Amino acid sequence: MRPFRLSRVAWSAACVAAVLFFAVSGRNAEASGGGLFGTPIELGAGLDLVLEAPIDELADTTFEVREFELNIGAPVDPYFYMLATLAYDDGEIGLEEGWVSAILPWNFKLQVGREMTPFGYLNRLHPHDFPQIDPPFVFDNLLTDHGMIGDGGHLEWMAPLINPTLTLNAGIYSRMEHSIGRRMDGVPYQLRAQTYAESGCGGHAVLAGVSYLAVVGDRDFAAGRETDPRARGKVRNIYAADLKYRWGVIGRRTGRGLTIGGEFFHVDYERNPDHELYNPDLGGDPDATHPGSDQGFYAYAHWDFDRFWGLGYRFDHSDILFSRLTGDTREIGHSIYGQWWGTEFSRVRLQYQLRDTRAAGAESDLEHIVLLQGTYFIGWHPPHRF
Amino acid sequence: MRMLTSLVVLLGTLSVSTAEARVRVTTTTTDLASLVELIGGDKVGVTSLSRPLQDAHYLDATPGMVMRISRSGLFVENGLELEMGWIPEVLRETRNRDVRTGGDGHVNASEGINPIQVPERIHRDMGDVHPSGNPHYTLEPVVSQQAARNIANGLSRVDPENRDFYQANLEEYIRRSKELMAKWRGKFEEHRGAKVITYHKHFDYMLEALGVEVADAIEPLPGLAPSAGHIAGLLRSYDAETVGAVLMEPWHDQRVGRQVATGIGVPLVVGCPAVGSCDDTSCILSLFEENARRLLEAVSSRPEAATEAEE
Repeated sequence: MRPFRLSRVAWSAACVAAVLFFAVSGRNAEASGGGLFGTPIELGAGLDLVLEAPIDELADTTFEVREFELNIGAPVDPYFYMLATLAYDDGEIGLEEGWVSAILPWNFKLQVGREMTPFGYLNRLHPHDFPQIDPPFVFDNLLTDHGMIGDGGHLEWMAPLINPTLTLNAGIYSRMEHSIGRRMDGVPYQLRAQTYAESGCGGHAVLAGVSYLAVVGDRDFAAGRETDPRARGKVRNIYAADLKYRWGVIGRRTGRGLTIGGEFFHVDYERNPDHELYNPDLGGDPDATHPGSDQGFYAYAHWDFDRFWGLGYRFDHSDILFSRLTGDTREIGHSIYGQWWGTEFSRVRLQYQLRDTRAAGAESDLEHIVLLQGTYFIGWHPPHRF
Repeated sequence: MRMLTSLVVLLGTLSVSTAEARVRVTTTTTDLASLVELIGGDKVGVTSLSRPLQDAHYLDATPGMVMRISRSGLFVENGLELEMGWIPEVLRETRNRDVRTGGDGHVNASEGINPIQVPERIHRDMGDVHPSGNPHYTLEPVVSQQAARNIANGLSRVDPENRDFYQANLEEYIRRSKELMAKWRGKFEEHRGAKVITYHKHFDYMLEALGVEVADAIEPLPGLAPSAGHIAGLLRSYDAETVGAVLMEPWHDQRVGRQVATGIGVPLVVGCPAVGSCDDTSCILSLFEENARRLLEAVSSRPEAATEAEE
């Protein structure tokens, strides 16, 4: 369960009340000027609709509202900025993000609250902003199915360099729900170093980062239900490296260009000694397995013809978490996709995916999947970063 | 530990070595950078976040932008929501409070400008409409006088010792822009009321100043891609008797512009959207002059001379 969770009805009522309140105030469409009580408050909502059709089993086709999010953000005063995102996904409404940030002397920034931890590249994005419709396999298999969201905060420092830049940050979290944090026995903390550089003409830009996430101390360990095979292990360290490169064809059509990106993750873990399989008091064998590690990565290339049309390909290769404990299994995928932006506020994407699941000693299990997505925004949306 | 100490010393040195006596100014566009150069002269060092041929509507916020603004004494934005897709994020992340909105080092160059095309109501089904009006005022140097004034005031705030220098350069800019406008209004006198089809509303301030009317637009609504039906409608509705030229920016699909121009039988003019985007557009005054020259050449040509004025 996520912390601070109210009943669905209460959250629904709160969301509806907020929308009505701002709408009646007439402020919801204006990102600048005006504002509630004379204060600019940015408010916007987004809808992410996904249809998923396994070609071999069309009867299992699903269509769902993958996410609905309500964003509210504004400076609190000259010292603090606040952003909150209420989200509906998987049939639940909850506080996805809620944080305040403050600029400190010497190029530091502090952000505290509930946040998408700045670990790796993709984790800082909401699912509708992912480069493809579905999350990369490694993201789902090793890290999270909801984004690594932590209650805590991080301190960020930017070196006084313009090109290239250097950004360092360190964060600590009391908990990370709906993520690999549930399989970490201690208080999670993370470190990240990131650099960004661009060519003089601005046509080439690259962002590269390395991240580390681990735990300090011990605490109550809730790895999940005993029936969940992932309850068998405890994660100790996660390493990540990410790269994004963009070649923008300046002077031709706006938006035309090539984007290449990818991330690599490595997870160290050990068996959970409290699990029945390894706890001698429960009849388990403490020497049954040894510590192990899993890895995975994704890489994609995307070509934008202009700011309306684009095509791309993604390759996935990922272990499934605790594969050494649960039996070697990995997934490999090939995805091709196309997208059309109606405006900045609406997008339709179509994706074909070949998913190849391989267990140790077993034959490949191939799936052909077609995904169709529509994302729509009204009002304000937090600006996109490179 | 020694390495860490060395790093801190290195970064400190870099920080100090870039602290020049000149005011470091960052602008969002090259047009504004040109205005800053005209007003600030050798007292300023200016950098634009967007390149001349980048459409400033559609940039991503980058860490480089954040640090560039953080290390500036003055930040100048176009305003009228031109940069609303990326500047709010950059300003939120900047480590320099003075350049944030409301700070002494922040200039919204559009303040005090009387914008054109302010919509009476705002609705997304009207396309990508700017609630405060058309933001492309820097294509018209007389309207830009107010932006120059705002920049001079901003420079005077952060560098009061040179206030008189900035004010003198402002007066000079106002004089030169008036002269330039009078010259080109005279040249367009015989073409007053001429009509053009534009792609986006990028050159509308200039067209209004020169007495040229916008008959229609290739974009069915601002920010939307033209459909085949819309293009066919333009070809049905206009001919060389009713329209003198098709005027577009280089960052849109020139095949579409060419199709419309050829279909109607008028020249296609690919304008210069920003300072530095074409030869002979090194400042905001020469930018206007070059665009006016291209347009005049096109509307002066006879209908049968349906050539492309693109250079």
